[in-house]
Amino acid sequence: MSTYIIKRFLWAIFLIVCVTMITYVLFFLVPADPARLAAGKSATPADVARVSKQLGLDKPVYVQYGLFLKRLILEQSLGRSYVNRRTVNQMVFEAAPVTAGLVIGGAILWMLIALPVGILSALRPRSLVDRSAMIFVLVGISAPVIWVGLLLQYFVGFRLGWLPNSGYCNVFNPPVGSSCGGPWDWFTHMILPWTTFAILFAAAYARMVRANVMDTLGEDYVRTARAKGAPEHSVVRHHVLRNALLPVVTMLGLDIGVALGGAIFTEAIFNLPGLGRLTVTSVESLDLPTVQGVVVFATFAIIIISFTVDILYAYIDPRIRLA
Amino acid sequence: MANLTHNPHSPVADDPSSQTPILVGDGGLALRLDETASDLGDDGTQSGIAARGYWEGIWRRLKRDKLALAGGVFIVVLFVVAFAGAPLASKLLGHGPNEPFLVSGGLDANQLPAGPMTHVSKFNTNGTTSTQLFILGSDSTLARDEFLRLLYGAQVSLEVGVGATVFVILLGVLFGAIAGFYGGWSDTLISRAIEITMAFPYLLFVIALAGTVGASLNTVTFGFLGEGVVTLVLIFGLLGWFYTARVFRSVVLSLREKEFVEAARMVGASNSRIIRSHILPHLVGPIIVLATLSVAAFILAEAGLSFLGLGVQLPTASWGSLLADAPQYYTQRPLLMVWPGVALILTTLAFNLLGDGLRDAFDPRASR
Amino acid sequence: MGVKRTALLALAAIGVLSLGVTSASASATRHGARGGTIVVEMSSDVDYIDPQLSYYGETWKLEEATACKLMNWPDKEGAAGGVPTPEVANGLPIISKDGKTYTFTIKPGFKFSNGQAVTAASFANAINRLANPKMQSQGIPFLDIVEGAQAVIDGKASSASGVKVMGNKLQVTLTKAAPDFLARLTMPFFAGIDTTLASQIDANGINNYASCGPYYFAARTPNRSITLKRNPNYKGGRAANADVIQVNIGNDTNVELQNTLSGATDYPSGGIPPTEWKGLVAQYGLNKKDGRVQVRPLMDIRYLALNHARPLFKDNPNLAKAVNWTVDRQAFSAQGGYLYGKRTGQILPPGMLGFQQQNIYPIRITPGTIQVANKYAKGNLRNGQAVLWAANKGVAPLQAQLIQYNLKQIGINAQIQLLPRATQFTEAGNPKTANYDVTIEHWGADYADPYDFLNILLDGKQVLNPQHNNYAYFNVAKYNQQMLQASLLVGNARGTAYAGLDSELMKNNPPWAPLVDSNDRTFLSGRVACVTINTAAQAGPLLNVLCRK
Repeated sequence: MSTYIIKRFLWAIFLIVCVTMITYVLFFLVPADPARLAAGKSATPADVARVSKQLGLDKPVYVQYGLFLKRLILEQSLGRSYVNRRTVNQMVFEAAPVTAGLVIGGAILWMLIALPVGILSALRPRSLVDRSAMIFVLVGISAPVIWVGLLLQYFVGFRLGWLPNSGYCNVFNPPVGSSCGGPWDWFTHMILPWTTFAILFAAAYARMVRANVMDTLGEDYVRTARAKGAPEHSVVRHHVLRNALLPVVTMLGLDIGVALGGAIFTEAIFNLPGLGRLTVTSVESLDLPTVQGVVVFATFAIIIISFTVDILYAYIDPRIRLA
Repeated sequence: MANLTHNPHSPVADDPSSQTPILVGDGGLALRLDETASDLGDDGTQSGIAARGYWEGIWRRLKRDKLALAGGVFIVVLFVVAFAGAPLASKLLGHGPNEPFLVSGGLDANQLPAGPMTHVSKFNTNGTTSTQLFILGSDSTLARDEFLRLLYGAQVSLEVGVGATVFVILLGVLFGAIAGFYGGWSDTLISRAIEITMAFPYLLFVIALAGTVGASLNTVTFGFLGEGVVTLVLIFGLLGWFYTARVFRSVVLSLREKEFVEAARMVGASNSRIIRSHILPHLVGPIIVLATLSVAAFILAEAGLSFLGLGVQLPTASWGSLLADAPQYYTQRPLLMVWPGVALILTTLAFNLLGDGLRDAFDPRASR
Repeated sequence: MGVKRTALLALAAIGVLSLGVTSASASATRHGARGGTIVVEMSSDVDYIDPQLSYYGETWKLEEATACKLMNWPDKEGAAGGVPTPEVANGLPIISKDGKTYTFTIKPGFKFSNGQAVTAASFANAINRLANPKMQSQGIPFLDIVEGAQAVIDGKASSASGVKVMGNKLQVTLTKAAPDFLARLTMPFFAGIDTTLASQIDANGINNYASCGPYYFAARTPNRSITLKRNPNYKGGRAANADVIQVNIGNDTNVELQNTLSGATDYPSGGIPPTEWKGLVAQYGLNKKDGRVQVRPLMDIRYLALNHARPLFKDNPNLAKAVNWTVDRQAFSAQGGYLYGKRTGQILPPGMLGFQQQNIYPIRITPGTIQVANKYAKGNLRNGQAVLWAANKGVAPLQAQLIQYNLKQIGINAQIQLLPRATQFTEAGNPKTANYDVTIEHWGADYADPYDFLNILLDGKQVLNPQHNNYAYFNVAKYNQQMLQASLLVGNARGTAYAGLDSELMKNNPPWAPLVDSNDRTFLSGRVACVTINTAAQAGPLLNVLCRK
């Protein structure tokens, strides 16, 4: 087991190095002159030269990359934004909890929808429940996130006024002067974003749960259990669900990283100051260090989550370690 | 990342890597093959009669699935409408999708985009005035034909969807087959490359790339594609090939162990012949299924990028850009949000239905 | 030299005259209902709130309420609001005979929000902090006329030799006479700072500091919100009506409109969707006293800069004329919505000295105008390809597509490149990166004189500078000379000379296609009154004057 952990750990480190190198190279091949962008509107060549020196942009690319790595490893710093000179670390660490809240809450919501829908429709194939569930699934995976989000915001947020139409409230330490804060405000502001975000995944997972449950229902050990006379609900609970849902739970671990994608649009529509919105605004203003910093951070997060999931899964299923 | 070197024969329900993860389209879509198509149910392809039976069986099963057929018909109609119907409509209506009709009619008395079935006028270069019909009204304050932009937008969506799919399928088959068949260091290398690519947050990286490096590729059109299509195809493809490669790799891995391959080897067939005649034909099924589902995902992804302003070049219409421009009018012209939204939903739905139907058709053991 | 001094005295005379007007009405500044919170929304975060660093219109709106300056724009509407008027300075400065030395006397009684008194040193410190190379401020170029500032910028001195504090007087020596020096002092770069901030040198900006204006920055959470509170020690005479000004950041225009309609927001500074203006004017009326919809003309110009350094427009006046005939100014304006601005075919805006209505180019497209455009374009298309730059947010992409279509009608294929606004004008102003043939630009006057339009934007001598404002790269010796000569005249002669220059340029060798002189449009919630809009200060209602009903 420990060799497995060490192997995965070293691999994770290697991935991290690869990722930083690739993002660094890609983003600094952009034609815009970073020193000029940083120096500002009325910069003279002396200003640009001065800023260039300060940012280290006058050195060759590989030296810059070395400095970047050194700063990353020794100081754990992702650099500074061109637009407002804040550290990228600060911006990312402020944004991460918002996105985490959106993704985790959304994941809980989508599982709360997907599990009952998937299980029930698997247990009663071809029934009305099954058919309506499948329609929900198909529409859910086909509807663009943006469309759903905008509609919800306009109708539920503005027209009906049942829920806030945008904005984010801190659970702890609301900023001075903000009009909302605390757990209840946070919760009500997140309902529409969670719904928008979860619909897509709920549909996909409902379909997967249904397929898994149906497969498991056809397995030999289930037939045996039934033959032995166990009541149906007991069969379902003890044999079917456990085996059908284990892979679903594992997928969750991997998909959370991937769910950052859907979060981007949700954050843009509902003005949630998370990693997705940060990516969009920094791309729009060509703020390269921030773009790069967000990508690197998100990749780290995915690698760490995957690593953890791998270890956990190997712990549960010994066959994997030995493969 | 799940361990890629698992035993392909372990039970599906317990094996996470055979349940390949969600391919990110519009933030993650269920392009999950709940089962790999590693069990295609039939033996090899030796006798001509058996081979015809194989495809006939698939077609028969597909025909039974009315929804899948409906999806397929919709897709065919969509292609016809997009590539033949759009130019035809343009000719009949007398104008193109990017021409502003600002002289009269295009904007109403309140300077809002005109509603459906409005007659609009513009000046021609030779000094005459043309008055024509906008079936769905104007698209924005630029008073262009929403109907035509919807049709031409279908072209862009299909070009990006199909283009990116072709890219990821080609790369996926190439790398997946090599890794699965040859094994050894080529497998290790390719699997590592897959894991590296998988580590990136797909959509985040696509957005970052499109917004920074992407602009330089926008002028490449090969004469007929929309501007910016190539950029999107490349970006989607280069970051998305890992998914298809993984699937094909496990298919090939399982095929490699089958008796007909062993038999062919014993007879002395070369590796390339084995791949060509025995492995590739069995990949056709998974390729078709994966391709249909991928097109849907990429269409949604393109819409998402256009919404953020990073998709195709102006003034080319795409469903995503139509959806992006619509919200500012949604209090006054809510229909402008409806058309591209419905178009996207129906198209994605059709591809998903067809893909599901094909998957079930290729695997007779699929539980329904 | 002598003529410049006359010009200087003329400007000073105007200042003195308006001083009489403004000091009488300073006490008549509207003090409405005091108290309550005003909620403002911005669609994106400000750059910094540090006075020596911030260089962004939205931030300057806030600093108009927090800063106290030697010279400031009065809290008034209209032309009176556009004259730099002494605020902390006790009257106009005494200017030396050669026009290079200004001596200001500091009015007593101004205090910072932390209780410190405002002294001459407060302003000297501002200048030195601005020049400090460690601050890396973008405002450094505005110090080019202050003697000794360059030594500070180069790190060779810690304070500018030309800035002297003598008791309650501040003496500033310039390297050359500069008629716009007093106008420059209205920029927040030169606002008074207390001794604490003067000692805090941080290129990342200080977010927590004391201010000497009616308000101070009480809190800032980047990307989320900014809070301004009334300065308890302010006795300067300007209004400070609301207790708190709360700024919320990040919503797009749709949501800002929703919030203003529902009353959750009082002033959507980020704007509202352009198509909404017509309906709002119909519903709430226009420019009523304290009405919800307020529109004021600005002294600015939106135009297409035609790049004369590139082959397409180089020595090609007929093509430039063709562009002026083909662009649909009405449609361009329609993209911005109702009352976006006044269409124009000339360089100077109405209201500015030297403006005379010239009807050289159409402001409405007809079949006839299209034919004339093609007549001028014929044979002058060169390779028929153009690169068109525009900003990537707001109505700019739509306007770019319109211009693309108009150019197509005369046979030019334009490729649109969208850039962040800051990148667009930064790269346009640098000869090495100005890779466009047409760029959609917007210039707002710093002060009401044609020099700020014609000379600043079209003087050819600057086109070789690494950063400049002549986005048309227009460099014709004859016109450079005429611009210089016009700048030396005064009064009616000045006006006539500039009017003639405007007309001659547009008729014979257009550097631009001028499009629209914009309006400042404001939509407010139903909860506020005391609406005073000073377009010289910044767009929108003066936040220190705005009050809750």
